[in-house]
Amino acid sequence: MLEIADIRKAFNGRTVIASASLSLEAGEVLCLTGPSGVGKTTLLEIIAGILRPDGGRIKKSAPVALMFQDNALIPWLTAEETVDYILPDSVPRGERRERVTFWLDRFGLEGGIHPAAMSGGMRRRLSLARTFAARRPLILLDEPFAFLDAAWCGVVCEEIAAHAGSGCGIILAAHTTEALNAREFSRVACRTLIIRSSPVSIDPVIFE
Amino acid sequence: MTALFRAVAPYLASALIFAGAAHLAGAFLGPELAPPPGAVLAALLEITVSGELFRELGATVARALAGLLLANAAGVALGLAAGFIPGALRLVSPLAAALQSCPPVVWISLVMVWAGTGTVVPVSAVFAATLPLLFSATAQSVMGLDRRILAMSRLYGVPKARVLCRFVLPGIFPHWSAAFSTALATGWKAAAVAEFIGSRQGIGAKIFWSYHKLDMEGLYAWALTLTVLGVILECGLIMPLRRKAASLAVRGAEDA
Repeated sequence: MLEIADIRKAFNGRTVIASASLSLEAGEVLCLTGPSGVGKTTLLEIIAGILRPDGGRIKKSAPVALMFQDNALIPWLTAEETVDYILPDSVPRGERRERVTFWLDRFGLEGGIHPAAMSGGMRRRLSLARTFAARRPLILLDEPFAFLDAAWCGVVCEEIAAHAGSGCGIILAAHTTEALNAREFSRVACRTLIIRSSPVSIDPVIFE
Repeated sequence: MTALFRAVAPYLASALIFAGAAHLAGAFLGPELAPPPGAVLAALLEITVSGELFRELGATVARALAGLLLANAAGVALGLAAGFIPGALRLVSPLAAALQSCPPVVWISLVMVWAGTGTVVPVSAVFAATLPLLFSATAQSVMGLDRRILAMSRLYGVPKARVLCRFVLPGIFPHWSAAFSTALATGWKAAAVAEFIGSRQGIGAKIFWSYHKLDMEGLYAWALTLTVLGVILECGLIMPLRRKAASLAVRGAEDA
């Protein structure tokens, strides 16, 4: 589903990713973990196509959905409009409404609220709702558990496991691997790559 | 009653100061050069009853609006293009600044040379006076849009029309509306000056002809019309637009 080889990235002469190579199969969950600033977000954004790598090779066989670390929510759109915004024109009106309502309900959100009126956790849940509503086979989640309490972390784990179970490939970046110990992941192929220091150098498998 | 008085008091005070100044001017200059307010109001009543006021007013408003709407369409379209093309704004900003600092009289003279007198002069003057302002405001506000949202829109393949309608246009609205309110005030004045110099119709032209014939009551009546309409425009449209722009800018900052 995804294969990256020898990806390199520097910002203003400062190397952020020295060399990163990894692969992901359909139905697999890969957790990139490590301290802040080691290049997890940069790597996800390179995979998503938002950042251009300085070198290396990326092979994707499926379209990508990305949950941004900073949520990337449009301030003047309501929760309902935020999810609807990314749905393709080809989705019929009735189905759009159903899909929007389903994902907002799933993450406990009301449709008419603007991001300014939401807590950090609600914004994160809205960002997750938008990502899952996109129905893309390759899902990248940047700090999906940040700002969430244990109950909502459980819901996110359920969704990750359910999507992996239905054949999606998922990469998530997180500070800790705690959430991956959740029982929801017991039936899912799950790997953890620990990025120890910057500049990032990810070998195919570092830690399981 | 108190609230009504508070709302009306500034206008009453201004009108009283204005009437007092007119009386003083009359005392110093004589009624031939500074006619008393009563004579000016009589002249105003005469042009109102004859229908001349509305005819000339209609011409001036239509020209100012035409110039402003054309400048707005061109300014927003060019501003969007310059804001999205990397380096484009930096490249044309000296030209925009030069055009912005160019007084309307330059454009009026040029248009009179190119196209003669008539409607084209005030419309072109308003267009030239307001285009750089609307262009710069649009381009700069596009540059200030959150690039992450644009990246997110590209990632999900959001249609360009939807990005424009739901993200770009609402995002530039606070800056655009502030610029548009300034353009309204500038355009109104530019239209009157252009009519004064290069047109036979409109309030500006009527001021010119009253001056030319030394019809001082008429001159003051037309000038008063222009001033009152400017105040109505300022209080009824420009100030609410600026307030709206300011509140949206604050909301945007809080959301960010």
